[in-house]
Amino acid sequence: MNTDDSSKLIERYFLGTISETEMECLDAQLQSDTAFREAFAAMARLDTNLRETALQLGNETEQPYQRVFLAKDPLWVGLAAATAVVLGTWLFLWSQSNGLDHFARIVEVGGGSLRWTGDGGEVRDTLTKGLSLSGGTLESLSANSWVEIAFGDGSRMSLFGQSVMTISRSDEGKIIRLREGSLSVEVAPVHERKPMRFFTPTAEAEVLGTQFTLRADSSSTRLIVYEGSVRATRLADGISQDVPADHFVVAAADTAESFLVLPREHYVDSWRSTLPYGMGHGEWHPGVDGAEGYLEAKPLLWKEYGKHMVLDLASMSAAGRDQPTSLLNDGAHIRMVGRVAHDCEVHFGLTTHRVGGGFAGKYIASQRLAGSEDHFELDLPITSFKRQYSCFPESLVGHELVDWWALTINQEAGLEIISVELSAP
Amino acid sequence: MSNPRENEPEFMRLFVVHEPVLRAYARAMLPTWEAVDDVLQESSVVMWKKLDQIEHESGFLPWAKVIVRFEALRARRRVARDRLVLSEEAIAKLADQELEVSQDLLAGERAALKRCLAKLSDEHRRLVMMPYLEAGGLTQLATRTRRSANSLYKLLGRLREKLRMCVEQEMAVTAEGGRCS
Repeated sequence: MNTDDSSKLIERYFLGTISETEMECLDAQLQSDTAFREAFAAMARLDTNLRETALQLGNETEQPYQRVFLAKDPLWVGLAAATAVVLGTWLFLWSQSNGLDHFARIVEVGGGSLRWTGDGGEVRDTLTKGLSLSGGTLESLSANSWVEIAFGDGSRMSLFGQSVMTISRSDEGKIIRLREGSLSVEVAPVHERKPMRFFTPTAEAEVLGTQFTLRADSSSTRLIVYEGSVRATRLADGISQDVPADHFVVAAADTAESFLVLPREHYVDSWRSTLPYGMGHGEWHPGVDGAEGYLEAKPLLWKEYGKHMVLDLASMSAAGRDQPTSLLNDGAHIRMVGRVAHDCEVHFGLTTHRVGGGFAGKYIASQRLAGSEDHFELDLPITSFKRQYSCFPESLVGHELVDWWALTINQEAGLEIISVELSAP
Repeated sequence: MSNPRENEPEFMRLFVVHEPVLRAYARAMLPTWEAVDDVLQESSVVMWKKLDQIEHESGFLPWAKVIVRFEALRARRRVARDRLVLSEEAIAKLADQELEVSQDLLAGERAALKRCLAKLSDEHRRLVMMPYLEAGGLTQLATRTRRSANSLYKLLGRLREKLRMCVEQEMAVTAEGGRCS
C-alpha cells in the first residue's frame, strides 16, 4: 500500500466513511506498521484540534465576555465571528428547507455552561447562535450563563442562571417544561390559536400572546405576568387562577400556602441578602459562637469558547417569592462583605430584568482583592457594573435586580460571602 | 480513603490542564466523537474518585491515560459486534505509542493548525469545520447543493490531508527555529 492509499484509509476512518473491508486493512496496518500508526495518531490529534477550533469558532460570535477574561488575536476573532454568523444562519435555513422537525433556534448565547440534549440522544455542550433545535432539553448550568431561543411564530424565551427546560411540539402546540430555574417568556399572538403550555414541578400555565416570567424549584413556582394574561393551575390540587397583567401568583407544592393572585409588588430601592435563604451555588456555613454565617464559593467546571475554566462561584437570588422586587436606581450602591484567603481577582455579577418584563442582562464588576483573615467590605456604585455582552442594554439603571453572584476564575482563592446589600441612592 | 469531594478542586484543575491531550488520546482509540465524549466523561468520574492514588501532579497525565485506555477498551467491548471499530490489539499498540504525547505538542500543533487554516479559502474552511458543528451536515449540504456526498467527502479528505501536511511542516519549521535560538 502506498502513502497516498494509507492517507485515504486513515481519512475515511476519521470521517466515518470507511468500509468493512477497508477497516480490516486499517486494523492490520495499525498492528504491524509503526509509521502508519504515527500517521494515524497525527490525524487523531489534527481531528482533536480541528474540533476544538470549530467549537471555538462557533462560540466566538459574541465577544464581550471574552474581552473580560481572555486575550485573543483580533484578526482570528473577526474571522471566527463572521464565520459563525454565516454558518449558523445558513445551517438554520438549510434545516428548514430540508423539512427537519426543527421548530426553534438559538438566537443569543451567553457563557459556555450550556447543554442541549436532543430527543434523539444528541448531546451538545457547545451551543452556537443560529443552531436549530427540535425537541429536547436545554440546560443553563451556571449562575452567569444565559441562552435565548426563538420559535417560528416569533415567540422568544430566555433561560438563565442554573435552569433546566425541556421543549417539545405536538399537534396541540408547543409544550415547555421548566424543571428548575428561571425562564423569561414572550409568547407571540399566534394565527393558529394553539396555546403554548408550560409545566413546572408545581404548576401549569397555558398562554396565548403574553409576556411573563417563571421561576421554579421543586417546591414552588412564581409566575409574574407583564402583558396579557395567563391561566395558572396549581398541580397539587388542580385549582386554577387567571393572572392578569402586572400581577403574580405563587403555586406551591404545599396547598396550605396561599395561591392568591396579587398585584405586582411596589418596588423597593434596597435589598439585603438573608442567607441561607435564596442561596444558589456554594456551600452555606452557619455562624457558630457568635460568628456570622457565610456562603463559601464552590468549584464549577465551565466551558467557554472551547476552553475549560474552573469557576469558584457563590450565587444567590435577589428575588425571593416573599420579597418585594428591588429596582436598580441611578446612584444606588452594592455593598458586599466577605473574605478571600489569597490575593485574587473577584468578578461580581448581577442579573437583571426589564421593568416591563423579561430578561434584561448580566453585568459584571471586577475587583482585585488581597487575601486576608479579615473581612473585605466593598461598596460599588451599580454604574461600575458593565454589561457582560454587547447585546445587553448598556446601563442596568432602571432594571429589576434578580440574581447576584461572585466568582474567581481558575483560582481557588477561598472566597466567602457574608452579606450583600443594595442601598438606596 | 479520602472523600472525593475534598479532591474536587484539585482534580478539576488537573483535568482542565490535561483534558485536550486525553481527548486526543481517546480519539486515536475510538471511532466517533460521541464515543470519545462518553469515555472522557466516564474516565473523569473514575479519576475524581481515585485521585488519592496520585502522589505528585506530574504523575497525573500518565495515570489518567491508563484510565482513559481502560475505559476506551470497555466502550469498545460494548460495540464489539460493530465491524467498524478497531481491534483490541490495534488499540493497545496505539495507546502505547501515544503515551508520550504531551500538552505542549498538542498546543503547538493547534497553533500551527490555525496558521494553516488561515491559508484556506472561506468556503474550504467552512467545509472543514462542518462535521464538528452539525451532525449529518455534510450529507445535507450535498443534497442542498446537488452534489454527491461522495464528492464532498473526497474534497474534505483532501483538505484535511493538506492541513495535516501543513501542520507537519509548520512544526518542523518551529523545531528548526528552536534549535537555532
